[in-house]
Order: sequence, then structure tokens, then C-alpha cells
Amino acid sequence: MRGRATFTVGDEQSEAPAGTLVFVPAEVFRTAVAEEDGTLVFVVGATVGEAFAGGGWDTFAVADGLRQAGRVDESRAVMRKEMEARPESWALPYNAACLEALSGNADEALALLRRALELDQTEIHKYFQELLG
Amino acid sequence: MNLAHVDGLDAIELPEGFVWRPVRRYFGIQAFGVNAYTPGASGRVVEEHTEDSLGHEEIYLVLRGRVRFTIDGDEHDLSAGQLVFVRDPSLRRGAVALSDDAAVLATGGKPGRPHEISAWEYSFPAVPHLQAGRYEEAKRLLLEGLEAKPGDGAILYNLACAEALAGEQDEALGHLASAVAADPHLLETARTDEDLASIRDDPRFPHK
Repeated sequence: MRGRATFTVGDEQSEAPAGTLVFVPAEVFRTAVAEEDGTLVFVVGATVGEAFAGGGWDTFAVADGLRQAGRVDESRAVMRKEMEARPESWALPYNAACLEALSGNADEALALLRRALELDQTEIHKYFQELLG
Repeated sequence: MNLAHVDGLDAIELPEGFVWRPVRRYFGIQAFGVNAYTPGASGRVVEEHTEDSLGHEEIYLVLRGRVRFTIDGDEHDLSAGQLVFVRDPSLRRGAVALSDDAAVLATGGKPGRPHEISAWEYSFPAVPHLQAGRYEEAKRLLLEGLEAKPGDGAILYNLACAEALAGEQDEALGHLASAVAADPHLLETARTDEDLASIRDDPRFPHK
């Protein structure tokens, strides 16, 4: 949208000045680095054949920013609000557990992790396996 | 890499005087709707419209230049990098360019529903061919649209227009009848549409 970036999509690299559009299928690795200060990229995406549902990563990013700024209560409130809105999401209590653990609240972290496990054992075990190697 | 510059996309100028840059169509995107627009002869960059029929929420991003949006009667001058979100499908929205280099990216969808490619994405590419008298090409594109969206009233209507202009009266009347059956609102448009002048006096022309 503004500036200039180098995109890596799969094994390919390409320069992308302002006004460039890049389309990436779900399974393909992608990343980009700015080549100018002030570079800004606008991103839109969704799953084919499914109604759009936020992935929750953006909520986690906001909450983690608040936690890192020492605003733990606000961080917790952001996650709680999203969990109330989407009680079926395993990722939200999982990420909330991460935030509580990072804030040193082991009891609350474990309770949230148990809730995430109740919602989707398969996904949580996948994460555990990645962590444990 | 699936990469394109907005200026490298097709530039399809439409009768309302704006230029459609078909992003979704270029990349074959299925998951969401996304298109870009640049000003045409009239300086318009986004057609005046509502999203009543599709129920879409829409967000517009000014990619470059300056643009004046009018949303529900309120004017907003936006420059590159600014976004405007229109949640309510019933709000009338449109935009004119305030600089020649203006470009706008638009994306939208209906809350709670998987994305469906809109019928207008099949009709719009046929418009320049209709205007230039290339009726066979227009019909080919519209028939492709009907394969993707069988029974769609707007595509059937545009096909009837192409056939009427090509002098294929029987086909035109048949498709017009199907169009009006699918969407009775099209009857009002059909009554005054110049493209249908050659079949309007035929007793088979739908009147109600």
C-alpha cells in the first residue's frame, strides 16, 4: 500500500512497490520485509467455503501488547471479552493461558489450559508436541 | 508468484464512468471478494450503490491519490492509506476521485456466510463488449456466468440484452422471461431499457 517490500512466497522472492497485490494459497509459506521506512501492507483473507470467523490471533496480539506494557488487567479483559463472544474457540483460552503464564499466574493459566483441552484435545496436543519436539 | 500491480490488471470501464480492476477474478480468489477501482471518464471511482441485494459489509482502502466518498449523504475526503468501513448494507455509498492517480481497493462479505462470487462479476466484463457491438463475446461471457450461477436474474437479463441487440429476438424474449421470473424487479428496468427496444413491442414481452 505504501513504500516497498520484498515478499517471499514459497521459494520465490519478489519486489513489491506500492500498489502491488500478492495472492497466497493457504498452505504456502509467506513473509515480507520492508525495503523503505513507512512501508505499509494491507492484508485480507478467509477460508474457502466457510463463513468468516476471526482467528483470534489479532485479539491475542492486542492483549499481549497490553501485557507487555504492564497493563495486565486490561490484557485479561480483552481476552475475556473475546472468550465470552466465542466460547467454542479452543485457541482463545489457550492463548489466554499463555498470557497468564507469562504474567506469572500459574493457577489461572492451568485452568485456562484445561478449558482449551476440553474444547479441542487434538489441537492442544499438536501444540504440545511442537513444544516438546 | 501470484503477484500483480493494480495498474497491470484489466481495466474495464463501465457506463457509470469508473474503471473496474478485477482483483478476485485475476487471481481466481474463492474465499473472499476483493476488487480495485480507478477513475474513468466521469471521475467516478466507486459507483453509487447500496449492498441491499447482497447484504455485504464493505471496507474501502484508498491505495493512492485522493478520493471523496459520499456515504448516506455525508462526504468524506480520504487520502492514500485511509480506510472507510460501511457496515450497513442499506447505506448508499459512492466515491469520486479528487486526483487523477486515485485508486481504491474494496473488499466485503456477508456476515456469517461463506463467500459467494457475486453475479455482477460475471455481467460487468460483458458490458464493454455490448457497448462495442461485440455481442458474441458478450454472450459467451454471460453464458459462462450462467454456468457458475444458474438461473441468476441479472445475468439472464444481460444475456437477453445482448441477444436483443444481436437481433436474436426469440432467444432474447426467452431469457428476459426467465430473468423476470427470477427477479420481478427487473421488469421495471426492462420497460425503459434501450437495449431491449427491438423486442419491446413483441406480444411475448413480459408486462407483469
